[in-house]
Amino acid sequence: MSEESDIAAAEYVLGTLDAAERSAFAARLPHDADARRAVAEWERRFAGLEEMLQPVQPSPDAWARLEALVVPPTSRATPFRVVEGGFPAGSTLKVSRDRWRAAAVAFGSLAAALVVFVLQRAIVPFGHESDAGSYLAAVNRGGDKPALLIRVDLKTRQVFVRPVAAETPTGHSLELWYIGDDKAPRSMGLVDKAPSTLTIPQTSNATSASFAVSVEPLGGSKTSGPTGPVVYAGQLIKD
Amino acid sequence: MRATEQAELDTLLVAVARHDRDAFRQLYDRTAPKLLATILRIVRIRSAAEEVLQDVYLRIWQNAESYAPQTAPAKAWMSSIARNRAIDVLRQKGFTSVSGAKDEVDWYERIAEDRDREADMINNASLRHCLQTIEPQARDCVLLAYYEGYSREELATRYGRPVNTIKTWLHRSLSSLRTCLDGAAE
Repeated sequence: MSEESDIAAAEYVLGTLDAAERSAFAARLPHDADARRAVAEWERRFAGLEEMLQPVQPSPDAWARLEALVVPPTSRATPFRVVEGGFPAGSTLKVSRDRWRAAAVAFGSLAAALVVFVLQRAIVPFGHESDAGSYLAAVNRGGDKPALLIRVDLKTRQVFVRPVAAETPTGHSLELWYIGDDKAPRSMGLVDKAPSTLTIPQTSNATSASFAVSVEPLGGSKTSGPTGPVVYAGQLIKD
Repeated sequence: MRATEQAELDTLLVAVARHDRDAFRQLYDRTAPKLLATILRIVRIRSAAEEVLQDVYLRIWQNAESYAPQTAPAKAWMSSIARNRAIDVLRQKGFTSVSGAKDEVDWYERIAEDRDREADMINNASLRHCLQTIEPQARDCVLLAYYEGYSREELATRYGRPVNTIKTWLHRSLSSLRTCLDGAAE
């Protein structure tokens, strides 16, 4: 490794590269074993410095917020008919789920602001209309009022979205996505303060559909797919 | 940090790679205060630091599989994720480090005073010695960058020198640190 490259590695570890140099160096790392080794060496050289810092306790609710994001969703499974992020393994849907997950990490802070209301979710029959074709997903803030009620009527192919206590981060919109069969996510519009009714596309087999709510720029995603963190994703399973 | 403690953290991180949530909780409890301290010194704003901290632990959870205990201690692996994220956020958001902040620390003094502390003597003895060999202003540049996320421009402003001079100072300091530290290790 050249002296210049090694000093670049040192400055990368130190953090003094400017934004452009920094991203250029970071881009090198995945395919440059020498650069990775140089970085590891510099991290080792500086490792002792961290001992000088006085520990700072994170806020008391930090763990709960983190846990809500990392716990494999199925481990919170209830006897209800929704599977968290439950896209069939190996299907093409997995691709989009992973992409969303990546987005959720990129927007980690925003997801954190919202995820409090997706701690617990359940799907229950909606009132007394619980015939085989009607499902209700309740997105709860733990022990609190549900943030969002999503009711799906498979006969009429209608989706009723009723926000109860959903909090939209300032300057952003919540957007509902429908994923039918192996298709790319399709926008079902913004989650508004007022209840709304949306229609599932005719071409889809709604019983295997998934729904997701993502955080988007004000007015919704500027692309054809979700760009922000998914704060809710659930699949309808036929009872 | 004692060797046993280090080995325990390594074991926990390996368990986290298997998505062991209890291990993740323990790892968090034992390492978060230090990582938050690292992040907070750099991004300065408490709420932003907590957000970065959360992002860092998400990355730890998701990337633990790529951790190899034989190449680095768990703590170093996690700490580099924390510092990198904090610096990324600092540079991307265009935050500036606060120079002359009320809680300004003379890092070199703190390292020098640390001589008598029992913990971590081995780690820092050579680092302390090698830092001593660098010209004081250049040394402070390295320490301000490491601890507080100073950019070259911010260091230039602080010391009233052109950015190129700062660059030269940094390069010279880093180069002699490497020679000194690697020599001490042999």
